[in-house]
Amino acid sequence: MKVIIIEDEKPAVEKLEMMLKEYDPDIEVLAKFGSVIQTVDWIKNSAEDADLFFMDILLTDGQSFDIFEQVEINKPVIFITAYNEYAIKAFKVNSIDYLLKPLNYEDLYKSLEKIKVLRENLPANKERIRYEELSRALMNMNRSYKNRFMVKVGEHIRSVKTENISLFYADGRTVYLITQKQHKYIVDYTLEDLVKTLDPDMFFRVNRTYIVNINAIQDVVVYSNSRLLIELNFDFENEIIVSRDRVAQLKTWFEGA
Amino acid sequence: MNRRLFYNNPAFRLAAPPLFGVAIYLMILMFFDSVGMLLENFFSREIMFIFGLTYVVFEANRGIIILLNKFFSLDKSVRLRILIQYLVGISITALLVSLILFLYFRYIEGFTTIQTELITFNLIYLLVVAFYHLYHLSIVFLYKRNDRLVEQELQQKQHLQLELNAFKNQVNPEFLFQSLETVISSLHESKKRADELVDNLAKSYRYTLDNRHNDLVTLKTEIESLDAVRKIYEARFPGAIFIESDIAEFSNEANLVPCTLNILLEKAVLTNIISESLPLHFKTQLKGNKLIICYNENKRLRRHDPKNTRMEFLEKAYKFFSKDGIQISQKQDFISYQIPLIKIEEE
Repeated sequence: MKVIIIEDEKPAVEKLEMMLKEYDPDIEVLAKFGSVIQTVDWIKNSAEDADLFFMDILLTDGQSFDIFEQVEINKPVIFITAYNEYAIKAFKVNSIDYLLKPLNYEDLYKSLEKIKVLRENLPANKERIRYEELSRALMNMNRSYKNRFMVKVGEHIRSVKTENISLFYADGRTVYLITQKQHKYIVDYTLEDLVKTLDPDMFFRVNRTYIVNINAIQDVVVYSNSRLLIELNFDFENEIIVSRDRVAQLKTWFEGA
Repeated sequence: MNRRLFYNNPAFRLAAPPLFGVAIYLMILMFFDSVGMLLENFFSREIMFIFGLTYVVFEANRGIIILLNKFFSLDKSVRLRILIQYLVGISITALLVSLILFLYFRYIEGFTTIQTELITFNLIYLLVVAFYHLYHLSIVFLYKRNDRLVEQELQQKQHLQLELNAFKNQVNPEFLFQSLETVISSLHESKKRADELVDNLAKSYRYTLDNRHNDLVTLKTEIESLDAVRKIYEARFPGAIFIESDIAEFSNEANLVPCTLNILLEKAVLTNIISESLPLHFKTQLKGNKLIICYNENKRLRRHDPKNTRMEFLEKAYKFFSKDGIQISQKQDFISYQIPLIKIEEE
């Protein structure tokens, strides 16, 4: 088997080579690159020679998904990442696997076995990697968001999924959340903390008091003084007005989602 | 708090008078013993009159409530407010009913003596209005009670918040340095062992970091996470530390604060002498809806942790998530922590 290692840190490359030799002394490391440019150049000329790619996410001149934007790779890829695995786990394709840093032999072994089986069963592996999904998965990799809030109702602890929360708002020093079912609970975070832990594609802080879920917005209406008024898809007692300095941000957020 | 109560709800204001009107009309017909005439009379002038009257009475009482909220809010004196609300409500209602009734019979029906009607209508309407205010007051008090509960919760929460955030940012440096020391010394013996240790160290930190946004994790993941930490401690204290778990079955309903086991194990290591002649036995087992963590104590002569903030955080977190919090009991040289397992309801 012929492999390409795309990794910019020398010790990591050496360790990987050592472990590959341990797995199968016949494995040949065709080339080692530390940058996107080098890799793209090589693939353009001789991609067919390689059987398997190892790719670190962060390279000297960019991130490895930049490679996919420039050239097509239809060989299996094993990503090496120090980030948590959830983002890549979600992206399940036969020809893609990932390993966590620091590398350990056991995981590498499993990965290589998986690829081996794949190669035997699909000799002419034409499964195309879906670049867009992949790059999105990779981009989200180092960001993890809070996906549940524990709220207390009397003696009971209730778990609220973040996606089911329509609105967060501050009333004095207290922060409340309102769920889709219009239940209201206190949360033990400040709005500042919440902004850091919530997915910015889903939640937006419209002013000093409110963070809204994009899915809870029914309508955005032009309001006096070049501000905007947000109408929610449920009955809410107060008016939610987007402060003027956030109007532009809100528009890009709304269009981006 | 400014909630939209029933009397300000347009749907209620529109629909309630006709509905109550029908009921009132039935009562009046019953009073005059003429229910039989119901069908022929149903859409008559009489019922329209009653609808109108009910509408006027309800709106008047709504006005009274709004005015009282403005000039005599419930917060001033509850008893006085209730008394005033009833007195004003009843007298205004009696006045309105009598006046409108008088005008109606005088100018539309052409009657002049209407004493019986006057008494009947007044009695019925006063009853309805009494219930109207009773309903209003009950709802207001219900909301007030809920608000107070929320308020109490709030006090506790705010206290926790600071601690929680402080803890979450903390990547325990002591454990890191001690473990690096262990890795370095194992490097002289075997590269492979050092490699494994680094791997376990990474696993244990990854667990802490991955759970920094989680308030609770399942017992199963907690116990599994202990594995990496155990291997590091075993390398650091060969033959002197035994970490065991007697838990065979894991219910998904059992949840813990992330890193509970880790923090307690760390406390045990920090406060005790650990040597081959005085080994540490750290055990976890289930007992009812509690997780029991116990270990033998061979206290160091000098306390090693003047202030264990991670432990303080843990105690606060459990006090928040459960009724009892963490309970500690000591029997001879054994100390045992009873950790409540937290059940989570889905919203």
